[in-house]
Amino acid sequence: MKKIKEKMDARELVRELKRVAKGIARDIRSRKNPAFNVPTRGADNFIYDEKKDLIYIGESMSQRSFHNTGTVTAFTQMLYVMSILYESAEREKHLTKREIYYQDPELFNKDQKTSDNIIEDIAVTLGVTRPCLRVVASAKGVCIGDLTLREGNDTFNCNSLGRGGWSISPFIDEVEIIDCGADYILVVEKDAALIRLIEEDFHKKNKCLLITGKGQPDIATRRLIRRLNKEEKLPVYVLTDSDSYGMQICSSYKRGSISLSFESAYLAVPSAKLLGLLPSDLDKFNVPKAARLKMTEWDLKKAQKMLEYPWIKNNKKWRKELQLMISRGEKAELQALAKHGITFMTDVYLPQKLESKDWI
Amino acid sequence: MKKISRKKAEEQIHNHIRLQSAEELLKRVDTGFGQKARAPFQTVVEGVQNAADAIDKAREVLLRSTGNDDYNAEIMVSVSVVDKSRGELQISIQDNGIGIPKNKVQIIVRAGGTGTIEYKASRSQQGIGWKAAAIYASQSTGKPMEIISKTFTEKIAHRHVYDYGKGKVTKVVEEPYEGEFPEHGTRVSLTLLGDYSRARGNIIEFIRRMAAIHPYITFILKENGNITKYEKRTSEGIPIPAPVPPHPNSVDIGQLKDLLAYQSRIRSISLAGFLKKNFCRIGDKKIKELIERATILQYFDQQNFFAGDIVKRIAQSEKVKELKKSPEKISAYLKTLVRDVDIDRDYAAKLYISGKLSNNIRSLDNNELKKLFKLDGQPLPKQIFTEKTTVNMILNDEKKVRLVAETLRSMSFPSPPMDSLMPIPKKTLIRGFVSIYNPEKHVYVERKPTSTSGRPVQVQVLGMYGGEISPDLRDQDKLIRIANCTPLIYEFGSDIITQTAREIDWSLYKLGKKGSLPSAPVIFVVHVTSPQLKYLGVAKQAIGADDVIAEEIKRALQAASRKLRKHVSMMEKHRLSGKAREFLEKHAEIVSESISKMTGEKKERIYKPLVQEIRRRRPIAVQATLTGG
Repeated sequence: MKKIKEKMDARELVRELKRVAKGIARDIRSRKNPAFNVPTRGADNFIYDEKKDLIYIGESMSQRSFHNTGTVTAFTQMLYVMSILYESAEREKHLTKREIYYQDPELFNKDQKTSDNIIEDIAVTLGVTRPCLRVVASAKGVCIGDLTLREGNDTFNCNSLGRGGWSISPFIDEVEIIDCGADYILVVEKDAALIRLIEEDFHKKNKCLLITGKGQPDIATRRLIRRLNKEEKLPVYVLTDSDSYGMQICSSYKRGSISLSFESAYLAVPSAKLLGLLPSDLDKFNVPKAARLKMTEWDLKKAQKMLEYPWIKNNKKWRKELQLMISRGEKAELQALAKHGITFMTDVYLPQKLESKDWI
Repeated sequence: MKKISRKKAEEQIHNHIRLQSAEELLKRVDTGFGQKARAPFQTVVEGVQNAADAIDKAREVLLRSTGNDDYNAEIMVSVSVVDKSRGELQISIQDNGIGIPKNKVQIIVRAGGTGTIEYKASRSQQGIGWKAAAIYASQSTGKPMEIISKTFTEKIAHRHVYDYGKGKVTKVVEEPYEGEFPEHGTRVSLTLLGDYSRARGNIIEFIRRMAAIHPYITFILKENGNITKYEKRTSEGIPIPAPVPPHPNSVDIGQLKDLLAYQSRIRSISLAGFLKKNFCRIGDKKIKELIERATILQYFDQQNFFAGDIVKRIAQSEKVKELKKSPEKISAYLKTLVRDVDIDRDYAAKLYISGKLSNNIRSLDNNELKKLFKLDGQPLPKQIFTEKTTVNMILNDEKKVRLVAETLRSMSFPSPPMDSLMPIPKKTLIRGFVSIYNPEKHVYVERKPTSTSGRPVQVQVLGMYGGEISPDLRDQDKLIRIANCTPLIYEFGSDIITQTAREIDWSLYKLGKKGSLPSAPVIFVVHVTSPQLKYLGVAKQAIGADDVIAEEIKRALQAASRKLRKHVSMMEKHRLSGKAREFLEKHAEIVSESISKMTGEKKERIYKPLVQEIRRRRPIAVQATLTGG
């Protein structure tokens, strides 16, 4: 497996980019077909490490050469983005993905997804994480709880920032963890559940950190969770809706996602547990029929496909829960628990689950 | 080659000039003088054809007498308006060819045609075209025809005037000509009614194409004093075809009678001697076979059945074909198929299976014929001629003439010799037309000579693609038809070349689609050469249908198209690589700028080699860029 560099400062990045550019220039002058060999970041190219329960990027590479009309655009885009990264790194600045896109939307076919992908491609080609490229995504995660951090000259506690909590910084690697008074992390899939938990002061009552990535988590959120898990040894529990999408999100916290698999080692938290809402919880906690939803065709298809993933296929608990979901054809949102009363989740469900270690 | 005197060479060639039949005939058939716009064209065509033939004959005289056939050959066509209001034109065609001996002019002017008995490809084969022009001129203006001619050896030129009115040819004047005139050659002049402004385009096209095919002749068109000149460009002429006696399979009764009559006038010899002397591919063995064959045919005639039809009926039967190779089944089926004649059905089945039955009885020898039709033991009719029967005795009996002709056509003989053809030299054909049309690509295909009904035939095709050729050409301009070195202009649709071309699936060659002429910017020049080539009319503007010729044309066009297809595909690729270049060069700009930012070197140091490499990898034909492809 390719070793991923987790840390790289601006000067190192400048040196690395210069090295690559010189190599390309040399190829051009010796009349070769200059090319980038980019590890494929696709659904077919991943390696699942069973022992570590992690998804890594596979061996498959795609060549993007200049003299091939099919790949010249991607080749050019990569060099162009590299030159932008170079300029910003020289001045020790960061760039957002959006800023990079707006350098030349025409070149990226007027679609930011194109430039976002190119950034990931450069990272994986150079064998570094995206933050090493000094590219930040507008982080959307929120963290609340007894956690003292320092960013630049500011030191703050995530409990003292009001009910909105701390908006996780995109420059997460430059944030220093000063102190942590929490015993575990409860990662919540969505904002709505987080608001309920904050309102009930769950984090204060239970000495935990509440973190949400608001759906599919961004890198900064995952990086924060990983650092807390690694540096502060906090166990991580994940709370999602009881559907295939929820399980998928938990899986990406835990094992990494396929599209960002090259950064797994640096982002994933293999010890994370899916606490709920498990398909088996629906009966266990008597979620009324009226609060359960019928799975759509898309849900079912997604669930069936997930069953094929080796990390689910070979994980008995995960497999059983997923099979149960499929066989019933039912899904439910966390809010379904509210049918038993608005505080049922914080007062009954979560304590009982944590107490009985009813997670997978 | 043994050198002989010029006089003798001339004589040898002129020896064959003789009288043929009637003037009146020409008035009844379509000679191409029907329309006012066409009459001047047809006149020029006939005159120029004769002139070109006369030049080739002069070359022959020179070749035989000096060993070198190159000289400053020239054909001049002069058109002058005599009476504009009436549309009266004078057209004269002058060549510096062999010339007509003074005493042979009166033969030549007769309507029967110059009728060389020689059997070789030539432009003007029947020799009636010019006379048709003269008759038309006489009918339309009442004015006579003038011929001025001088041979190599004659001391002075003579001027002859002939009147074609009153249903016959009358000599009006014959006198020494004192005016300016070439060393040798002929000038013929006619005054006729015609719409020259409408005929002009076709005349110019005809002369332009003639000049392309004959780069060893200078062509001059003088229109009321305005001169258009196509200069001689090479000393290499069209190889002079060798005269070959007719092939027995190609002879018809009329021709046979003419030959007999001609022989009879010299000396009445035996039939065997006559056949061997006047036809190719006949030897003693064939004569014997022929005498026996004649009795077999006589027998068929007596029995009142047509053996050829029966053979054809079996050969073409779909049912027999279905029965494939089962002799029993075929034999049984023949009982119903051939009820009119008692044939050896088992033997017929055997012949069928061995592929011996075709559309006529030519493929069967005497023994096979006799066995098939159960002739053994039958009383055969008395022979009406033997090999010793004299030419006179045959000539005097219509029945005998017919039987000889029939027998000659019903037997198989080896293919005729091929040196009687006049293919256009490859270089000439290519240079001639490529210089006119400037294509970006041309291909040449030459079929091996073959034969059809005893006449050798050969097809050449020049395909030209792209360059200055527009894709929006009219059909007539996409297919340039040439027959025996003469371009054909009129009767485009009915010509076998056009019809064959229409049957080709052009989509196979990326040149168009099926059922029409190509739609790509392509021109095909098709030359068919054959002695006694069969035309659709006396005007000789369209080659008549013939399966063998059609097949040859088709194959030649297909072979040329296959070659062109390679080019078309390549051009497509180039067109794409032109686009790819543009695309890549745009990216090269960004790439070199990006690299230069990171490495600090000059942008040009990257851009230049990158673009050079793009161009090396994506070659574009120069023409492609010129034509904007």
